Amino acid sequence: MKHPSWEQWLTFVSGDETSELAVHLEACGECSREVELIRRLQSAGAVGSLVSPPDALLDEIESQTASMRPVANAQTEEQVEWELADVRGAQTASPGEPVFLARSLPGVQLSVLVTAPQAERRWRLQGQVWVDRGGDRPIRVVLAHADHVLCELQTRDGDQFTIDEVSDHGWKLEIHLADDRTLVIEDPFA
Amino acid sequence: MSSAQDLNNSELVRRCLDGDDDAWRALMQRYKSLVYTMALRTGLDQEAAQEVFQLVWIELYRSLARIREPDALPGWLSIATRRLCYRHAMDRSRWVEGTFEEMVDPGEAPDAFVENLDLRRKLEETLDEVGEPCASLIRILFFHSPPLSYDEVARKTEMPRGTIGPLRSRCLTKLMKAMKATEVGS
Repeated sequence: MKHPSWEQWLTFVSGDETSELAVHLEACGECSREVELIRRLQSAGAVGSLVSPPDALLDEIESQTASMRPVANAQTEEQVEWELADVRGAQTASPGEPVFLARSLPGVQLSVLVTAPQAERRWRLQGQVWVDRGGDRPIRVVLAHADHVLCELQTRDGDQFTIDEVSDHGWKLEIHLADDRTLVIEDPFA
Repeated sequence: MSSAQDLNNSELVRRCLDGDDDAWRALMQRYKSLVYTMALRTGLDQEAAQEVFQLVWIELYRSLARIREPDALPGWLSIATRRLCYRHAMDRSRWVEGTFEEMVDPGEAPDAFVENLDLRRKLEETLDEVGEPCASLIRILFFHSPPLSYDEVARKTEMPRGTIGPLRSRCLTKLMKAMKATEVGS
């Protein structure tokens, strides 16, 4: 079989296809693999060079993560359902206008003031958690979206926490209690 | 026992969750240039890009237990990088080229740019394995901007013009075999 030249293939992958070359490709596995490789190389070439950060940055990150631990998926989750009136209030609120949400659950009370973003997708969540038992132990508060932990902080019984974070709609606020229960609160504006 | 850098993403993530520092370092080494390049491409300056770079890895570390598809880590990193670049720009009231709403949409599938950037990363690694003179020739033929003519390639590589064509064919075959072995672009 007579194979087309390199120059012909370059013209072919740049979009100026000719039916003869297309016919040849269908019948020739060798050329078909080479053309696929050329396409990949051209795609990879078009994005430009990768730039490496200074190695010292990696050392810096390692030293920061050494004292951290990944946020576990909740062992036992309790979905906090807002009252219907709360949700309606949230959904009809104007962006930038805070909405106060509060719920009482067995052994736990929580309140969150949610301010939906106006133009910058920046949410503001101010909340408090009260627990009947183990009030001296830390409570982890996590804002997550899909499989991203956007931010994490610690609070204590009755202390106010504030989260100011960029996120799309559909976030989840997780309250990881000291007794291993996790309260999951979904974006009421979604 | 294989070294951490040879392990796939799933195994690296699993080891990171077990507290393996080498696995964490290997994961950062694998994608450091991808994340840093993306941060620079959004228009951030070097200092800001370095700040975002650190935040992306902190976010990944916190999220490790929730990563559902370790093989799709480039897409995950792209979403985090774009969101954090956006936040950085907003914090400093700075206009950043490409600061659009989709930058912070965590539901977005990795776009063609990220896929090609990751393909470039894998190809660069594979070319290092393929060795010289093929690595240089392929880089000059495909990654040079603007593309060079054969005469210019001959001048740059100091190879006789007539040898470039046959060597190119041999090098592409060699690269193809190496890619198959490492499953690049599969």
